[in-house]
Amino acid sequence: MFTEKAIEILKELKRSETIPPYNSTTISKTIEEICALYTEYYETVTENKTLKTTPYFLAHTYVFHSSAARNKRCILAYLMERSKRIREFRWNSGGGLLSVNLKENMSQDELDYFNDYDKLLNEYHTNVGLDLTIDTEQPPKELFIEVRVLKELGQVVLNSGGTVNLHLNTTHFLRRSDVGGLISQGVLEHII
Amino acid sequence: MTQSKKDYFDIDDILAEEEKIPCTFQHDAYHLGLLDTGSVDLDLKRFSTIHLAFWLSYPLAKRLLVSLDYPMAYQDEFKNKLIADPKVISMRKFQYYDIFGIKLANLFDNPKISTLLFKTFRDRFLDIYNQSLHLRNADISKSLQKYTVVERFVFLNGYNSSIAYDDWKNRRGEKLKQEGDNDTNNNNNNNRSTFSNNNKDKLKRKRFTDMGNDD
Repeated sequence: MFTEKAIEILKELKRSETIPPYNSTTISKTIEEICALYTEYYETVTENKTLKTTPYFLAHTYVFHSSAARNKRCILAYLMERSKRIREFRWNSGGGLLSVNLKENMSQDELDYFNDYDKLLNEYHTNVGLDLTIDTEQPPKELFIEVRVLKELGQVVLNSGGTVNLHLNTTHFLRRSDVGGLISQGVLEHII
Repeated sequence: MTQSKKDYFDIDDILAEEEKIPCTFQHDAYHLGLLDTGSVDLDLKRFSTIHLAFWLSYPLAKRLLVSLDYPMAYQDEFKNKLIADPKVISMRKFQYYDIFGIKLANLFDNPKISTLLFKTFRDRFLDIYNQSLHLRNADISKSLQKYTVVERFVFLNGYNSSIAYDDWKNRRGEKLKQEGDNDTNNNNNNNRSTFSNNNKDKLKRKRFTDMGNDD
């Protein structure tokens, strides 16, 4: 049966919660399948010009055409779902940084897409004057929070202009908006 | 059947259309012997019956090239079981019973299927809703298996919002967290499996994309 491979990548995507490795081999195989299906029914139709509307040939045409359309739909849905997850990741991580793992799992086009989307979102946040990706769980009570450093970072310039020495296992009392991004990256830990 | 733009890219919708329907060909078919795995002929003979996926049977049936029969799960035997006691039946084998059922009801133009689906869902819903709010520290993966995709969506929504409400009430959201980090500091929630945490993240993500969605 046709379209089996295309269904397989959708199932693979559905099993995973994050962004699984981009399955370029299956995609190119599916595209080859679409071409083969098309050639086959195109030849059948052109060879039997007078008979092509009889049920005998019509069934053949419909099966091949539907299979090709189905393959296309599967690939598009696969790419669509992945691009959705990439956007979600940008909103959740609160920054334009990808881990090495994710980078390996994405295709070149997806990486470009992520970078462009990141740029777009940053531009928007600058224009609005507010980063919409932080403090989404609950409105903050205090302007300053206490944080502990989990990864050695050295001297860092903060968004608000000041500099701070983030050495391993030291604690700091800093402006919430400055460190939100670092916390979601796992560099700092919020202490209550 | 009209297909909306949203459904076209919906993975569940695509997988639901993989379900098979018994089709009987009304004519000989050119070079379609490959559809029937048991046959060696190049052509498909008239009146041969094959189980074809919904997406393939639909266009063929529309042109009266094949005649359709109801799939097993929508025939009387299983239907009677569903009518007798909808709550105890496990839908593990029929993950897409409702989505596929709606498509079938349209295809056969049979309001009885719609009624059956509605009644089944209505009877099962209350149980699912109740459990979703009370199964807090239990392992939910087992009960999830018994649900169809739609029911699972209902369950997880209830389950996650009750957790989110709890977090909000106890002001746990105040603490800034690492992306994808499980809140290990919470003694109350130590029992919570990573599974539910993933789903919580998923729900959160969903909200964000709704905001950030431009298509």
